[in-house]
Amino acid sequence: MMKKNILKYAHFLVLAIILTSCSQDFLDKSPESQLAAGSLTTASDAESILNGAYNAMPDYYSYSNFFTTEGMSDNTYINGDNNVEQPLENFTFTSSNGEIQLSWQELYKHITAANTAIDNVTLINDPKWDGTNRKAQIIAEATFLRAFAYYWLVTSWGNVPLILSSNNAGNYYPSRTSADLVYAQIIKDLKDAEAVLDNNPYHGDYGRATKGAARALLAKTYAQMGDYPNCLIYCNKVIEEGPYTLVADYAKLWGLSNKNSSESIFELQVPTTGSPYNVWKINVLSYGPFDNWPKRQIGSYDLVKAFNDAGDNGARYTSTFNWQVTGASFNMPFNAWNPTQAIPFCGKFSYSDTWTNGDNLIMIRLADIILLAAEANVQIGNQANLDAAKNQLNQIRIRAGLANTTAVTKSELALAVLKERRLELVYERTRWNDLKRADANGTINMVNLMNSQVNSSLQPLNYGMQEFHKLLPIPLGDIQINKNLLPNNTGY
Amino acid sequence: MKLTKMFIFCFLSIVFSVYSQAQDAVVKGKVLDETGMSVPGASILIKGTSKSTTTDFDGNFEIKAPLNGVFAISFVGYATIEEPIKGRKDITIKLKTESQKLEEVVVIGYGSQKKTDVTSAISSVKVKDVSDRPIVSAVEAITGKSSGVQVSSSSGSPGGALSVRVRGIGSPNGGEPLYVVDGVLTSNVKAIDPNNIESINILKDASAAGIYGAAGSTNGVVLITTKKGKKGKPRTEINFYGGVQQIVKKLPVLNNSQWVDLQTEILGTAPNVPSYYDLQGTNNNWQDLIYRTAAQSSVNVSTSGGSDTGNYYLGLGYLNQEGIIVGSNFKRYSLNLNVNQDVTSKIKFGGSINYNRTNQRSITDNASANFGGVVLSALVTPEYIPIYMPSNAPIPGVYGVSNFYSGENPLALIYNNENKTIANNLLGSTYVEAKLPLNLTFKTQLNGVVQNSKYDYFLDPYSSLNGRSSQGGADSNYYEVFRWQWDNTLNYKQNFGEHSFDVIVGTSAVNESIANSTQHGAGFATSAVQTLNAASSDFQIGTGEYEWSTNSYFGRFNYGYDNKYLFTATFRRDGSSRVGTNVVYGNFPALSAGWKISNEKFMENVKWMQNLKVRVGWGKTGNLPPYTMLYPTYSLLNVGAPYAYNSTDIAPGIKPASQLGNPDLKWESATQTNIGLEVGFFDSRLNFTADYYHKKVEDMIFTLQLPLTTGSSVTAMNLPGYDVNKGIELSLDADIIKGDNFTWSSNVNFSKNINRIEGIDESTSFQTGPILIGGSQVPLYTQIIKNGYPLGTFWGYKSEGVDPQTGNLVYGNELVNLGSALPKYTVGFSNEFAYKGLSLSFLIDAVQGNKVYNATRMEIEGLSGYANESTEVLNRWKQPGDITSVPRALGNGTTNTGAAAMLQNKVSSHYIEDGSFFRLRNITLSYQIEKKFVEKLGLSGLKIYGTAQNLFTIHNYKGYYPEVNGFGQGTNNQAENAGSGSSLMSLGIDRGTYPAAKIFTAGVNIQL
Repeated sequence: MMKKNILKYAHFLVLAIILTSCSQDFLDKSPESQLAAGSLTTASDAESILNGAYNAMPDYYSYSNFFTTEGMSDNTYINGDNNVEQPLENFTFTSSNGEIQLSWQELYKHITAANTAIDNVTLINDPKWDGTNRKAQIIAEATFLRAFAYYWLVTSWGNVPLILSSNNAGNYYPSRTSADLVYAQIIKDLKDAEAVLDNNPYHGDYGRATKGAARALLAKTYAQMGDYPNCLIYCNKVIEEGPYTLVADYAKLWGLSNKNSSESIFELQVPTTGSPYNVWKINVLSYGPFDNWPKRQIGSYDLVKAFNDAGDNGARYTSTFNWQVTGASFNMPFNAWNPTQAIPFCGKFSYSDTWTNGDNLIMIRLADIILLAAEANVQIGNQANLDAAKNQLNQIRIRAGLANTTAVTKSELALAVLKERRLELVYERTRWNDLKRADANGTINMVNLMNSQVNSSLQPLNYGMQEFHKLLPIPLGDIQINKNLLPNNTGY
Repeated sequence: MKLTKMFIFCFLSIVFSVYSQAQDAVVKGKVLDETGMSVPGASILIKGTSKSTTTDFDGNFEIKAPLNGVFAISFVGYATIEEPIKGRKDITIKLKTESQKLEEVVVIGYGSQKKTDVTSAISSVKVKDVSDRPIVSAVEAITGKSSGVQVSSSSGSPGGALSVRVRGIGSPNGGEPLYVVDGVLTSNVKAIDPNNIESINILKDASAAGIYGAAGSTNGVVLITTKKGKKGKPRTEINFYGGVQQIVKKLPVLNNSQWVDLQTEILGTAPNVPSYYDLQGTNNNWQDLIYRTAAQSSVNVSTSGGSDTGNYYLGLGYLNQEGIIVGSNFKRYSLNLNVNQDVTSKIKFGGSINYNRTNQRSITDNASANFGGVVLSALVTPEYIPIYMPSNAPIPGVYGVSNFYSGENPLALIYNNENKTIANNLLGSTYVEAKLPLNLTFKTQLNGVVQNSKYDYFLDPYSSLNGRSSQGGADSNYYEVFRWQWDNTLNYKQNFGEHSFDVIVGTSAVNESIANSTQHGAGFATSAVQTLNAASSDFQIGTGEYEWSTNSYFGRFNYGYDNKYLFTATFRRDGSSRVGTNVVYGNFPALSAGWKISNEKFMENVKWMQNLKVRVGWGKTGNLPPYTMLYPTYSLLNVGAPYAYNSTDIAPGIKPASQLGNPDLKWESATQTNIGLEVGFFDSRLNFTADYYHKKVEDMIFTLQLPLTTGSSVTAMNLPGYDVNKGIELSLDADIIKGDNFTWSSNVNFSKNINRIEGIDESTSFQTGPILIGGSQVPLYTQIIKNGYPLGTFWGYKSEGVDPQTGNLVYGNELVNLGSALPKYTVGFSNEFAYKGLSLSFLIDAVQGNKVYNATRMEIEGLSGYANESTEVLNRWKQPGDITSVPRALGNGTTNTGAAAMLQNKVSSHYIEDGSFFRLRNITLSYQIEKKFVEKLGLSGLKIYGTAQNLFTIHNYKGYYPEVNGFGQGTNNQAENAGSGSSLMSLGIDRGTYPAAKIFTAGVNIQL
């Protein structure tokens, strides 16, 4: 009996050896093809995560940004082939509009990338940085990128959630912050960046945020806030402290061989061939002989008329338009153009027969800031300012091959600056915000202007713009997830 | 010293066995059946030895045997009997048909059990008919056969996946069951050829499934046993069938003049169709052009045999299934090998390999035409679009496209690109089993699963405008999964008088590694070379590696007293790398008891009722987080986010990935209670089983889509509250007629399941069921997880019909419950009639009370855009006063355009339809040709048969087919989705899903 029992135990012993062969290590698995957050430690890690914050830019700026600026405005017709983009053309969009949601989504992705860079770099202390301010610069570059994204958020939506860290202290369901506070944060971020960054980009790398870029964006932000004195201060710093000069030939601003010109203040960088990130979206504006894509935006009749009315037919006109007969789908507002004849494609970006368009995308250039200074001078409105405005306006007109302006009074000049900005900066995503400022200043009535648009046979396009359309709706998709975003903007 | 001795004793006891020898003599005999006919191929074993023989063609045998020995005579379908020789040299033995109902053994986790001793809810599925039916996937064999189990096909795509739900839906990640094939845990049965399945048993409650713990037991466990060789004469079987498949119905769409009328209403003026299109002469019926009568054929050959000490089974299979959409097909080449051998009387070992290689050419479905969806393109491409652009078009010769929108025509989507997948699936196991002293059995089993798949896509650079704009393009994607599993069990079986014990303890370790790679290129000079070495631009590459592991300890204790009272306890402890690092281990206990009332004294005189048993069970089961997040603990950063400063210098970068970590992510675990009753009547010719269950899942794992303001992040979380499934299952098996020449057997099963989310804060809800409409890349959510509603609840606006004054759809003011995609009840009804060699069987299955979101209609009844639409829109509102259910064309005038545009973008009851159906799933007629003719041919059996699948389906659904679940096949469970992050469940959504087919086949089964 005894023996039997012992025998039993012996069997269990043998088994025990076999059965408990697995140790705790066996269950310890961590990601192999990705990094865990918080695992960055070196100066080069810090550069890498900053590179990632730049990498997050093209999604919004090379695509969605065009719809809510050029497309919605009187500059272009949206020629989309689905029910998402078209409503932006004729103001039938609702909060469930996919293109609006995409813009919102991409901007917050960009902000998350910038915040992640700021958070991770703040924790890194590498002796390689001793005696330099590179760590502060990295944070400043990321801060600039974040401010840029907030500039578009606040100007497009008004009150928006203000998120300043990668996980927002665990609050995944933020409420909206008032536009004033968002603007204040943008100003703070940009002033911080301005203080730390140099005039020339770090390491001579074009594409990085610089002191000048921070100042230019400060000027644009103040303008949108209606704070023209501060706008003018920063315009002047950009103009006077440079290091930017106008390119003599407008045509030399565009094309693969004219990247990072002397006029360029901040420019999204794209390799001429083999871009490692998605920028094909710019390509949807340009004519391609073999495309069947309905190019998303075609110059409007009103835009072409504006050039003609101004007598602008030089390099600026030829750089802006590429007149071609399209073999592709044609789905813009009815009778906007005759599909069997040449229509004005965007000429500022070259065509590439692959999805990767090799053009850089100019985000801010000196002409924008000069004309913004003119606008600020006009709005401040003293005679000295008006004179200065006239000079600034003429500087741009002369480059375009036009005569000096004939505008004299404040209101004439205000209108002249608005027109000049349109001709100079079309396809550079300034028009929608320009119209909003002009409307606020009483220069034009934006709603009337949009609703009086006609097609090429001079028939009304019957846009249904209302006052509330100046702000976009908070996307329904996000409201459904986060009720704290309610109430939506008026009208939606 | 003692230990060493004991060890040696143990070792010897395993390796050697001792036989007693006695005086031998030649004994002759004959084996007869109940009717006195001789039984060829019966096995005669001399008990206590390994000596055996089989009867010849006339039932005779001859063997040298000890005259004091005992013969054990066995033959399939007959009870094994023991006949003491008692000195006789000529013996006649009569076999008796096995009373199967009593002795039926069911496979349970890590063992088997007499069916009458089972104390938990287990369904045994009859798979005898599988070889006569055009069954492609192993799980299809379960359809309609078991109560509490719903099998639905996700799409009619050849080789398409099926979705299985055991007792409702146990997880917001889909809730597919765990499969265990010959002991191998697996999340799919791709490697299994259905022709090689011996039996399928489904463990439904916690007491049965709990022994598999967190591996997925919450969603039920499907145990598949593959065929093994049987003792006796070697058997070779050849099975061949061929047949055709057809689409069940087509959907009527507008002709050219109807399309022009609609466009004129939308635009306010006639559409400007360029002259190179021919509105009169070109009338392409795209559905006729892409749907075909498709062939399906299959050949299976198996040979098997066995001796007293070992057996083998070898199966080879070939399947060729064309899709009913041209250009889609699925081919499978399979091999199955199963070998078992007794090394000594104490030790046996064996193993099996299930391998197949599949070749698939697929077409895109479940997508709008803009994203390549062929099914939708065939509906929305207007009839005037030519197949190829004519010579006066701007780019002649390419596939025809509209001048209004960029989607390609369906033939272009099928033929201007290649979509090929080649996969290898291998599932194998080896084991050694040793009988130890004291009735202990030790078994160690090592399993391996290898799955790899290579997907190749090629877009022709010339044949379509789409291809031209990028100069073609190609993708080559690969993934490989390798998993090993090592199980060790120790089993103790002993009876002490009226007490019987069956105890098992064991360990299990699983480790899986997954590797994938993607490669892309464009810029092809020619379509003749389609491999990526021919690409010249847009190169994109990526590889990823993932690994996970699980370590488990488990045990089960079965106790029976006096064959009346039965008790089972199981326990499993699992640790896994797939849960949060703060909660690695989980425990899963279960208890159940059964009372065989009919074995009580007071039932002795009750003759009309047999096997009355009640059983009660309680336990916990578990489920791992989905594959989409294999490292849920970590917030992840993506490497490979470069930026090209100076427009040239590419600097590598890092940016946030979408996953935010949750180190507290726990298993899903369910607490289940089951009460069951089993009873037989009329000498067990009528058997009835009833079960009531209550399954409460807590810590539901949900991949939460966080607000877009987080950078579109997701995180895996355990939802508050519970997913409760409760229901009843009834099953009745009857041998209605059991005559000498004519038999009729029947099974009817009924299942009712009520699913509810409980215990979630009223103000909290989670969206699921995302769909993309038209060219939109932003999802609309159709479903919700919300307190008091079932999973799969459609959530949207109630449509109150068309306003006769404005022609617009009128909606309610708020989002409301629009019904659930889960059925209220399901019914299966199968019958088999046999008259001599002729047999007729049919299977009816019915699903009632489920809703389908017909997202296809959002496009083909959208009443806007330039695409073609369904003839439903002919009934559209045209002028004030019109009473109709179809709203007006959009863009007609300027009033209320915003509201009109919502027609397509609003999730509403307008698109919700009843998905109930009642269908003749299968009807098979077969004839077993009389033996005397067959024997002349030198065969031992010959059967011819014909079947029809989905012959008729009664339903009210407006789309192609009501059984549709294009996004619900539980891909979250599958390794190919490792690390894909998002995993929102969608149930019952039809979004241009590949339609199901009717199938007619005829075949022959030859036994050599």
